[in-house]
Amino acid sequence: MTLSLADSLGLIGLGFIVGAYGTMIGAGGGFLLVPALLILYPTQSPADVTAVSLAVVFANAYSGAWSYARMGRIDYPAGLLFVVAGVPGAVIGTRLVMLMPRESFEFWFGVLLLLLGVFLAWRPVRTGTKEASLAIQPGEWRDRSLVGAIGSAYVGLFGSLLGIGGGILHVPFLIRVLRFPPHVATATSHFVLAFVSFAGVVSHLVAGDLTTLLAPTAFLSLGVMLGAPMGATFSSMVPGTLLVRLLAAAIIVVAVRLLW
Amino acid sequence: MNWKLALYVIGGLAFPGLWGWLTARAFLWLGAHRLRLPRAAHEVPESTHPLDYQI
Repeated sequence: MTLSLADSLGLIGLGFIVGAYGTMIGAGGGFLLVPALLILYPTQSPADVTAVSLAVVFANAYSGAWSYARMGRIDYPAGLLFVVAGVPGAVIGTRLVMLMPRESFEFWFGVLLLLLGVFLAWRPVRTGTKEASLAIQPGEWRDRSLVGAIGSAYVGLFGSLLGIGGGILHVPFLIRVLRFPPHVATATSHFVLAFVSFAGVVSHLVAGDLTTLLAPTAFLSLGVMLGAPMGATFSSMVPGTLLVRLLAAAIIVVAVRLLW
Repeated sequence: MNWKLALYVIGGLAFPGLWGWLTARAFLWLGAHRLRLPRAAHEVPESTHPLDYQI
């Protein structure tokens, strides 16, 4: 596929926006890319579109995680546990998606996401999160590890069923259930996403899904790799409540796409 | 009723939970006693937003 200069710059610009916004909220940006790619390339198969989206998500997560690592915001032990727990669920999801009754799954998941998005916009963090984080007792980590690993496994599964990286599911889980501070949750989610999306990209490369849209993938990836560090920098400048509200907006976008 | 299909779906939905539990147990068994979730607020570096981490 040959691209004009205007098309190339447009794709880089789109990638930049996706990279900056996605990195701010700890998501890869698949929730924006998939609908955008379906509009830009209506004749391409869903497998091709998902493959491009996942490759760009990987570029975003890699670049964003690198920026967050330099800021010291990633919780590595927790992130590593979530990676090991999450990858098999994501792989299973790619198989299970063909067996699930698609329409009813998308409807009910869309309703759940809509409720989650509205709830997060209304109550971005738990009341007393700051105090609660400080008050964690020795030994409490054991229960949280179990809950975190099981939750991350299901985030991998449902993210894969929806054809997205899963960051928009992981970040609310980390904040609301595991009581991560929002800035640590978004950075750690990005770290996990870099590994989970890499597994997906490899599987698509093996299947040969990335060959038809290689040039758009390259320009979008360039854009997200420029936008992700900007998103990480902006993220450090705003309060956690705003980060969660931006995340809520992304969740509502996905819910609306599933419902309509 | 396609019982094989039902079995695949139920198995596919149940496996991640079991895998997550096994992963956490393995991490704990390996002595990941430093696995505090989330990190205590005073450990979060200064580069993050002060509104979230002030003590």
